[in-house]
Amino acid sequence: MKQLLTITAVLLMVASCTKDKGYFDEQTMTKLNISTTSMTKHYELMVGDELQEDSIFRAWGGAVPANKQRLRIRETGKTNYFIDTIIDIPRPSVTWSLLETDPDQPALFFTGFGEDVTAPAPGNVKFRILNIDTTRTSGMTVDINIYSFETNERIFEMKNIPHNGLSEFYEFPSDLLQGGWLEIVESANPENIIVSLDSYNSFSLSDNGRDNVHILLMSNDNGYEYPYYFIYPVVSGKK
Amino acid sequence: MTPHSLRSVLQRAKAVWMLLLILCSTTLARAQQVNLQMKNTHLAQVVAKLQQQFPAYRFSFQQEALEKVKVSNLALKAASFTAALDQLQKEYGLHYLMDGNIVSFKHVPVKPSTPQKNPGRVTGKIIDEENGEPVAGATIMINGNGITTDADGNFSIRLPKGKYTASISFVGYGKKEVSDIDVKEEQTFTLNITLKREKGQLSAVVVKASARKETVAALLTRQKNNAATTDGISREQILRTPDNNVAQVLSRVSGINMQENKFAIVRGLSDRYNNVMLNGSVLPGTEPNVRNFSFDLIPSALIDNITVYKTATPELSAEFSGGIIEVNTRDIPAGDFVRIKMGTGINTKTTGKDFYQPKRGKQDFLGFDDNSRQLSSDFDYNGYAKSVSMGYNGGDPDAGKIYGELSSRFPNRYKMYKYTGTPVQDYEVNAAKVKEFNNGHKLGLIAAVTYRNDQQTQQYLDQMIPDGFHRYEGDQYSFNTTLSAMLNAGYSFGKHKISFKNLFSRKFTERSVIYLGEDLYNDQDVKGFGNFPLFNTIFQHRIEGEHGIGKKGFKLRWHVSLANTDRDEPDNKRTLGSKQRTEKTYGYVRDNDNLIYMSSYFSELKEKRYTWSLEAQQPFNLLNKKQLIKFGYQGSHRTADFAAELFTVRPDRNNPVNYYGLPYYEALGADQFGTGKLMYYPYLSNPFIAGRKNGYAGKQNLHAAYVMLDGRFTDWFRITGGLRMEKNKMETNTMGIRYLQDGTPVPNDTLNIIDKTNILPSVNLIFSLSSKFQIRASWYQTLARPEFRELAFFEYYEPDRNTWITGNSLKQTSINNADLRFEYYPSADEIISVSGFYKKFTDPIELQMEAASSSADKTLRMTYMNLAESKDIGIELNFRKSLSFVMPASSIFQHLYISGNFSWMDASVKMRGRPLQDSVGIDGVSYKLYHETEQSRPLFGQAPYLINGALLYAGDKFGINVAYSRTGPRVVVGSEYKHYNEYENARDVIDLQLSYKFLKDNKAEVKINASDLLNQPIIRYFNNFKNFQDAIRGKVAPGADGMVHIPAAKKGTGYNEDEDEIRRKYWMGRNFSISFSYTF
Repeated sequence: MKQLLTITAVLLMVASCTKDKGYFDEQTMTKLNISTTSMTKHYELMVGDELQEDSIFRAWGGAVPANKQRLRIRETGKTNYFIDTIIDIPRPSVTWSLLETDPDQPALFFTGFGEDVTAPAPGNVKFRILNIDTTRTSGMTVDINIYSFETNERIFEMKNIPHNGLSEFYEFPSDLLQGGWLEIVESANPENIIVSLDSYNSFSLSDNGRDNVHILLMSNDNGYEYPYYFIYPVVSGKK
Repeated sequence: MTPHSLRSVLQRAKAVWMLLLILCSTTLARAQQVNLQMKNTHLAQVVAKLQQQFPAYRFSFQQEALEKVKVSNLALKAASFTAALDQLQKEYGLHYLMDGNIVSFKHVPVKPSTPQKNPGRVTGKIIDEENGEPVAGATIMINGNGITTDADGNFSIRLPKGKYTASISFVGYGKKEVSDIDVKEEQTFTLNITLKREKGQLSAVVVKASARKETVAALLTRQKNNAATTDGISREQILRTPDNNVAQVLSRVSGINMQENKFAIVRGLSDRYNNVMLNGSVLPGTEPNVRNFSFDLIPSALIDNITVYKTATPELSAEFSGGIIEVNTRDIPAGDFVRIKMGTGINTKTTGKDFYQPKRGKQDFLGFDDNSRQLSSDFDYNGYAKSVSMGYNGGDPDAGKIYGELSSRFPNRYKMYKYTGTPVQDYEVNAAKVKEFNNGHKLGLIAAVTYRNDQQTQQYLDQMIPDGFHRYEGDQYSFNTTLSAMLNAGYSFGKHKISFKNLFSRKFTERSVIYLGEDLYNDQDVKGFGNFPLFNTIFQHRIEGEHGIGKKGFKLRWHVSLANTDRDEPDNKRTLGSKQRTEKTYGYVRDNDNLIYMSSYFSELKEKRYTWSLEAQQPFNLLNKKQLIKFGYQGSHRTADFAAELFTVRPDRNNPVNYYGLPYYEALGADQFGTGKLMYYPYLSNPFIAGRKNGYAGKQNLHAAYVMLDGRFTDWFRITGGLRMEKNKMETNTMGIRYLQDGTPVPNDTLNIIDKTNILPSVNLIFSLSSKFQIRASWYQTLARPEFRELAFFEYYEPDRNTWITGNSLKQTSINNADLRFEYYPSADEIISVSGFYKKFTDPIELQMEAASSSADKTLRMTYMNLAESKDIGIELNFRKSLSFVMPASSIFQHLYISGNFSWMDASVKMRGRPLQDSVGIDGVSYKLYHETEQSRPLFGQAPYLINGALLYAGDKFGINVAYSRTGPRVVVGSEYKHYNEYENARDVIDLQLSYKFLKDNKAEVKINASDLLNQPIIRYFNNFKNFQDAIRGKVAPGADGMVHIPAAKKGTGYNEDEDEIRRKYWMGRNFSISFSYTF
């Protein structure tokens, strides 16, 4: 009996010594898409300490570790990173856009939309607006109202568009976006009409925008006195 | 049953009862109490008085000699007649010899001796050197004490501690003195002795021998005199090895080579042509796709002896050609003992290193599942498949909830945990007790419990380059626990013995694999994990009896046994992630039912085998020689029940989850399964995958009757032979499922029946040209029957090999065997033998790979097939030789032996040679590709040669054993295409064992074992495939006959890196172990 007890004790001791020391680990990855608007510049992308691509031009996509990562971007051939930040890269995928507004300046860096953005309902279009206007709306949060070409009735409106920042998502039937007159007012004071219907600025998305999600860039291409506001898609993600 | 046959059975039953009544009455007579009180008399009067009390016995003694022995005050009170005789022997030196009712008395003066508290014991058996039969009634004198052997030639005597010489004699035999009998306190010294029959007058010559040599010699004598050609290993030899299980023990037996450390090859023939018996009962196989028995299941501590029959006699099962391996566990021990053994060991690839496997269950170390691998007990494969059929395929949301809920309850063991490889743990406890009653009856009990846990890491390369399947590299981890117990009891009384033997063995093996490599077909990188748990249980109960009846040597043997086997494979699964070459992350979830990437398999095989037998043997005199006739009947009833289901994992309908970038344990985590998430998609019971079967049931009734004559017509010629009739009926019912339009499953079974009666003659001739030289010649017919599994149309999927294995409508194999063996015994413990054998197989069964698959799912297919014919011609050399002749005066060389065996076989199977293609294009010109119209190669599993060699030193304290073995290249899976025959390479294996006995009376022993010191890889390959590939790719110039010839392999079928294509290559690592044992 003594021997049996001894053996049992040894067994228990050894069994208790064989606890696991972790597991066969794998990194959670996500898909990062980068789009750039510059027609001339190439960029280098670092995530963590790993060089992902040394010459991104217009578009790039690849797998990177998910969640909080150090992300650095510089122009190919340059020494300084114009973006060096800790950023949360969500899974399963995300698209970032490098938007260039001034060829002499580094590109603006904005989040695009991740895969968590839902697709618009069939027949609709979904978008958010990035206002980079440096004239009348600079520094202001504005509302944009669109009026029918035919009836002059307001057919839709977009509220609280920040300056140099992304607005919320708006979703409308695509048919409404065939065109309309554009009015811009100050969000905090709608009586303050910044761009009136009289200036004959218009807004339109072609059929290409149907059933899609976009980032629209808003800028004034014609100076303060006679503004010509232009809103056009810079990033489109077919959902 | 006809009235006549019923009457016949009743008559036989009556005869048996009569026999038992007679036995009981004799026993009762002997058990009569003795009460005798006498004063101032002598032994002659005491014997006369006893004669009055027991008139049924006839006493024989020398009156004058017994009158000289004074008896002052006798108070004889004994429970039985024999107990009274024992008391007289002890107190007055009145020795007796009882033969039936004749009792002979002789007086031997009693030497005064100092009584000892803990005497030892000498026990053994005396056998006739010429015929190997036990010698009953022989006298053994040790230290002035005499004893006679019983009907089986056995004896047992208690002696104080010391060194003794025994003198053995019997009328008609020469006298022998055996020295070096070393008796230790409370220990049993085994002494088996051979006696040589004297011709003519009694000789004055006394043969002298040492105890150790005498015991080995006795084994060889038994072997020499066995009617069939046998080889074996005794309990004592086993104890001198460091072997833990029967597989390791078997590797020491001549002509046997072990594969994967568990499967036996006898004479180069694989498991299919061998049979396994445990205590005389045929054991069911332990493997699902082969007829293999995994010998590592049985610990060596439980074994009394192992005998390998290489030729047939009528009383042996006809189902073998290579050999019958008979493993006998112990029953009545020689004496009381308690022995413990503790051992540990390391593997150079495992111990102290990372060891990956899914989360261990709480009872893995005991060999049992804690249910973490099991489906719920009420899980119904067909019901589940129906809900999937209605829900997943039919879009019924309610059914979707059912299978979703059940999917979430599947075991989830995908995550591979990291452990550290621990040293081997090896424990044994054996205990034995013998109770000798005053009437000479003996009751023995022996119990043993053994436990072993070992972990093995195997580094491997696995690829299927032909047809561009896959290439994986990685490690395989095996966690093994074996728990065994034995409880045997035996009761012997007079010429009768009844034994009850029970064996339990449980082995748990969990194989886990990490795959890193590529999917060549889809040009993708692959990373994955496999996990294959297996629980094997054997439970055997056997009651057997042996009865000597009458004075003319009639013997009756019988047995009844039940063996249960359970083979449980829960949650066997493999997950492969894949990615494009430039991608960085693997995807583990796919919306398809491709089994290569995801398979989860559950199966359970339950087998029951009842066996029973009755045998009678009667010696008789003819031509002034002792002849023997045997006849008997053996029956068995066997059932098998196998159920299985195979699943793949895929997203449920309307599953919105994006699995991109998720680690395997998150993509397949427990929370990912359920309705609208991931679900298990059934494969075998699924109406949307046609033709699958999900189980089989088997039933076999086998009845055998035989008659056998063992005739010795002259001093130099012996013939053993007879007829055996076997009536066998096997039914295999493969369970298929068909679905009604509403999704209701209904059985769609297929029945495969073999019903055949065979008359199988066998004859063994032994020519004893001298006492040292004999020739054996044998001819016999045997069979190899397909297993249930091979007759079932169930498709077994092996993820490791990406292979489906299917049964077939098979015929049993008939084998004609002829053997010729020359045996030379230079001295009593030496043997040199040379054998030649010829075997012709009709309808041999082979597992064949079908044409390399080019199907989109990239799985291989293998099928069991009958081939037309195969022939083997072989020779076998076997020797055991003492090296004492080198330096006769040296005590080292006195204990030094060299042994070895070599088998060579020219085996060929004839089958149609098929070309993969007929022509070859070279520089725009088409040439005919030459191919042989017939394949000529050994059957699968057959090795062309075997080499075993050993150098053994066995001193009193120190022992050393160096063993070498090599098995020739052999086909492990055949193919209809010559270049797709899968071979396994020849490899050299060297083992080393050291042992040392110490402490008082050598009660403690340490053994150190180093195995597979060379650690050569095991390579499986397609022989000459690269030359074949060059030829079909137009890289070989046409010959003079205008045809393209495939260049011949430079090394024949041996492995050649330049010409052969590797299928699998792996290394097992070296093992070093140490064990300590102590006998109380």
